[in-house]
Amino acid sequence: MYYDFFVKLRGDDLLRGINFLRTHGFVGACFFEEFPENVEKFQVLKGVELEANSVRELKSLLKSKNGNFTVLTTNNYNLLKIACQKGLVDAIHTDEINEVIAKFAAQTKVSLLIDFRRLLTAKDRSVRFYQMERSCSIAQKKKMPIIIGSGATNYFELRALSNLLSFSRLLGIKRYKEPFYLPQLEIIKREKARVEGKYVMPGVVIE
Amino acid sequence: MREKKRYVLVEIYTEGDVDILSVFNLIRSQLKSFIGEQRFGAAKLQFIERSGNFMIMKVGHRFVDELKLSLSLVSQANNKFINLAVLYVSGSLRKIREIMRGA
Repeated sequence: MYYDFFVKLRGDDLLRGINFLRTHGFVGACFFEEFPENVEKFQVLKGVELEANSVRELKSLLKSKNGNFTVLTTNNYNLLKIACQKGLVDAIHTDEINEVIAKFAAQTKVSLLIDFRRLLTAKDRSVRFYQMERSCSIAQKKKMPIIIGSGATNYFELRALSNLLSFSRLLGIKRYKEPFYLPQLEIIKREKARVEGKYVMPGVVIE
Repeated sequence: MREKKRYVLVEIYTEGDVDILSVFNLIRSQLKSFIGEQRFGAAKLQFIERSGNFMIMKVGHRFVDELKLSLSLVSQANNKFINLAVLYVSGSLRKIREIMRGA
């Protein structure tokens, strides 16, 4: 039960992509650009990527866009800190994090999103890989959840589970399988409770 | 002492036909740039065979993860998009050929 939680496929690539993910070890995925419908035996979620530069901008985006999984993409330190402190989003997608952000994120269960496409398309892969490695080490130290996704924008950028597991091991993640299922299962559980009307607020679910 | 090896079965997804040796050379250069020349010698990467969309490679057992990441980092060959997905890793060639026939 492994999930690719960062897929940006669209158009004809969607169904081909789902078949690829299914045959290469994934049981579900989160789609950010287009949401596929009528998919059998494969869990699909709708993701929202928010690009903001201030808290006010982020809050207005949060009101206007709805999805199962919310990601904040920014390099603004103060915004990242506040988003993690208040748990405004599910995951942060940034170049580097520090101990302060990781500590807040661990408390509010905001995940660090590692996007494989960023490494694939980087001009200087060594620098990018080092940044990712360092962010993962800080996240592990402060017990911040990590999510690894392919970030694929076309069919050929999708990666098999086996390849991404190796990527996770080389990033120095001790429990290298956890970024593919642990935070994802919590989000799926929360969304299920939300659909059933049992979800009240973070940490409060009617049994 | 004899060094342990692993055989890696890779499925190739492309837009059209690609020259397998040019793909292998790309993988070699990618692995070399990732692990460095000194460790690349110890990895002992070899191309074994190709059958349809499948390819078998041989590598030292300590470099399987590095090879898998190098495969992931190859995205284009002969100006065509390419995706190399690892299907199976085994210590015996017979087993990996059985998997390849079944796939």
